[in-house]
Order: sequence, then structure tokens, then C-alpha cells
Amino acid sequence: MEKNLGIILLILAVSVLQATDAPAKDLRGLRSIIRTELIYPRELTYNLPAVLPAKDASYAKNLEYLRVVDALEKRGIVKRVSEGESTRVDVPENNFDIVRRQVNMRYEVLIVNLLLGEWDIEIESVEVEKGKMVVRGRCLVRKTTRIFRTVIDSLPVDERKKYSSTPMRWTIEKVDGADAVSEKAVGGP
Amino acid sequence: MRSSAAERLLLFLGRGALFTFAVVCFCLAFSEALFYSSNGIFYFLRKNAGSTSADMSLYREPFSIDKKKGRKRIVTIGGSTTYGFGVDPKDTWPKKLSSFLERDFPGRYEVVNLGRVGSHLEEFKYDYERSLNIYIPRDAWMGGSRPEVSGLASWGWKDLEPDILIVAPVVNDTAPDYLYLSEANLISRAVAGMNRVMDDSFIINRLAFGFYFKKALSVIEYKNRTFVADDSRRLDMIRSSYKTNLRGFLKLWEGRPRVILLGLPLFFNRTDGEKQALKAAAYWNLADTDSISREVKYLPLLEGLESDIRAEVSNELGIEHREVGVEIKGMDLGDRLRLYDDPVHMNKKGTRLVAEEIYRSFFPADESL
Repeated sequence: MEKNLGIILLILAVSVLQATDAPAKDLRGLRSIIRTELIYPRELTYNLPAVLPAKDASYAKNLEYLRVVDALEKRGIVKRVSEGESTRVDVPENNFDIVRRQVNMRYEVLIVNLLLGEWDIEIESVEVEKGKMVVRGRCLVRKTTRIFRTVIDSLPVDERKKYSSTPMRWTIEKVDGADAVSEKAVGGP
Repeated sequence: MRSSAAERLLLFLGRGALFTFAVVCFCLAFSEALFYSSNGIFYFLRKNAGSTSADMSLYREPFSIDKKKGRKRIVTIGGSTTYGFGVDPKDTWPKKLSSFLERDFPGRYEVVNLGRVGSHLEEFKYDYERSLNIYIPRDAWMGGSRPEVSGLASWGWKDLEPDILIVAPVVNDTAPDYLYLSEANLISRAVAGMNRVMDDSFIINRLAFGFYFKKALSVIEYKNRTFVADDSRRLDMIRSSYKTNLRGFLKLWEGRPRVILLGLPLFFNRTDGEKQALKAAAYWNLADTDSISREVKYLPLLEGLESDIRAEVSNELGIEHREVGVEIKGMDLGDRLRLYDDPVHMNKKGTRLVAEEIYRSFFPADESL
């Protein structure tokens, strides 16, 4: 009796393995296509204007920037330099592994990119819709840096969601013989 | 009656002369006062102003003018990529090169990094005589801005007496020119001529009035220039000035140090287009994609122009030359993105690869070097 039960269980196990093996390979292949075309893993950054208050940002957004700068300045990651009615965000040396400056042709710093970690993707399912492959999965935050928590904790609750695991929908189709991939965030985390 | 008329004429002329004299004195005095209020020193005294401790503030790390005893001095010259914009001081390519040399040839070399943000060949020629203490953006330079005496250090690059000179000019010489290049009309050329004639005059050199008059002439000259819209003509002008400036700078060092001329790789390849630009913008999280969409078109064009001229000039002058980064240029987009922070500047992974290639190419294991 036990021997027959064991055989039945083995057959069931092999069947399950055979049933999942082919889709798992497809999912890995699709993940590879999406990663190549959309350059994943990619950097997760928070963009901070180099001069505050930022003219094209709302009052609430400028408050958010100031809170982030406050928190980072306490840790010595950035430094505020007063310039009359505005404040410039300076980056002390030895922080360039986590802070990047976007400059114009005159090397005036426009944006300070704070590196928080990286985005990578996880595939959950695939289906075909109107001749296009629709892949569903998630964007995940990985390899967070030493300033990730500092920045995230400074943000309003609604803003924090942008820096956490996000359900995604990717569409893959062939265009001129090459894979064309587009992505869209779906709802909230 | 006649004498009365003559007297009146003389009186009129005398008053006129007196008035003119008073106006001239007022202008001279006012100019000096204005210069003093802005600079804290009278114009005629400024040449005696000594250099300050800010002599090396534009360089990545301070260094000694005098050579270290028993060591060959390598001097690296370039713009922000040599300066190491965006990487820590220990991760610049000259610093990496220094660490490789110290590892394999301990105590034999010292590396001095003269790379400066925004620096270009025309400025290098000034630095050769006296190092600049102030930053003048390339577009301002093209508009006629030049350092005053107080903006120059007491020493020049020639005083460093390098044994090996590595020159790595990048797009500072061509990209701003491509975007802003203008040419002079008749008025601009006439005023430029007047400026040149007055350059060595007593008025310009000793009087604040002359200083402001020269500034006014420069503004008139600049305002009468027109943007060169024709792309091929613009590129021809850039090609010509780049060649002149490169040759001019390298000839300053002729016959003395071993000179190595390098081209450092930019991010975009000629085969990249809008699709690659948008992928890069997404990877770098750029707020504005307009700029990168233009850069993907013109940066490879300028890189090609510069490398052709570097090859030509190095051949003409018998100088060692290498366009670094063939392996990097051959990588696919994703791998290349992981070496750069933006279309021009490499991160520490990129600078390390560049330093390794320079080291392998020019510093063989032969101890007799």
C-alpha cells in the first residue's frame, strides 16, 4: 500500500515538474528580453534640485526637498550653501558613489541624483492579447544604499510608494524584426 | 570789434577746454573708484597683487611645484573627465594610473593631475605660462572673457617640468563651439581690431577707465556676432580651430617631455539614436530628455572630428597617440550605461577601465623606462 502510494506521489511530482518547466523557461526568457530592452537592473534615484526653492515645484514639493536635505545634511551626505534667498545643495567629496550631479554646459549643477538602490524585475505571468505578449510581474527594489532609509523616511507617505515594489505590465511585440518592449505601472504596490 | 570777437572765441575755447578737462578727470577718477569698490584695489596697483592660496583650488588635489626627488613626473592634462567629475578623488583615472605605477614600480613615478572642469586647449595655452585661478566657462571664453592678472597664479604648467605629459582633451573644445559658435560682422571685426591695437596701450594697462572701455568694446564685438547656422560650415570652423589650438599647445612642449595624446571615450556611439538616448535617459533618471536627444546626435560627430585631428596632429609632430576605450565602445548599451554617469563622464568602474588601458598601452614592464 505504501509502495503504491509512493509511486503515485512520484508520478504526480514529475507531472507537476513537467507542467511548470516549460512556462518557467519562457518566463526566464521574457525576463531576459525585458531586462535587455529596458535596461534592468537600473538605478533607483531620487532627484533633488540643486538650488532650492525650486522655481517649477509646488510649495509642498519644496518642503519635501527641504526635509530630505535636512536629513541628509545631518549625516554629512550633502551640505547647504546659502546664496541670498536661495540655497544651493553641495556634495562633499567621498559621497559620489551615492550622489550624482547633473550639470549644464557651464558645469552649473542642475539636479542632484541621490542613488537609493536599484530596480529589478520579477515576472509572474504571461498571456497573449491581440497578437502582443503581455507580461505581468513586479518591479522590485534591491541593493538599497546607505541613504535609502534616510531619504524614504523624509518623504510623505504617498511619495514613499514610488520607491517600493510595484506591479507592472510589459508589452512585447515584434517591430521590424526586433523586440519592442513597453512598460506600465499597474495600480499601487 | 575783431579783437572782441577773437577774445570771445578764445574765452569760449578756453571754457570748452576746461570743461573737457574736467569731464575727463571725472571719468578717470570715477573709473578708479568703481574698480576699487569692486576689487578692493586700485587698477594701477593690481599687477603687484600676489597670487593667493587659491592657486590650486581649481585642481582636484593640491601638489608641489617642485618634483619629488628620484621620481619621474607624469603630468595629466584635460577637462572634467581627467579632473574626475562625479567620482571620488581616489577614483580618477590619473589616481588609478598612479596606484598601478606605485604597485609595479614603487617610488619611481609621481602623477600630477592638472585636469580641470570645463577646461580647453585655448585655456591650456594660458596655463602653460601662468595657471588660471578662476573658472571661465567655454561659452564666456568664446565671448571674449579672459583672465585678469589677478586671476593668474604665480606659476605655470611649464614650471612643473614633467618627464611625461599625458594630454587628454575632450569635448570642451568642440561641444560649446558647436552649440554657440558665432562669427563676426564688419562692426565686430572693426571693434576686435581696435581692441587688439589698444591691448598694450598705457590707457588699457594703467587706467581703470581703459579697463572699462575695453570691456565695452568686447560687449560691442560680441553683440555683433551672428550664430553660424550652417552645420557643415560650423564643423569646418570647429575643425580648423581645434587643429590650430591642439598643435599650438603641443608645440609649446616640443623637444622636452615624452608627450602622449589621448582621446577618452564618450558614452554614445555613432550607431546610437533616439531609442538609445531614451533608454539612457530612463536609466539615469533624467528629468529633461531634450538635451540627451540632441547629444546622441552631435557628441559622436564631434568625437569623430576630434579623433581624426588628434591622429593627424600626432602624426605630424611625431607624438604617441591612442584613442582609449575601443573595448568600451564595443559593449552593448546596457553594459556601457553601467560605466557612465552621463553622456560624457564615467563612474569609478569606467575610470578604472580607462586607467588600466592607458597603463597597459604606455607603461610596459620594462624597468628601463
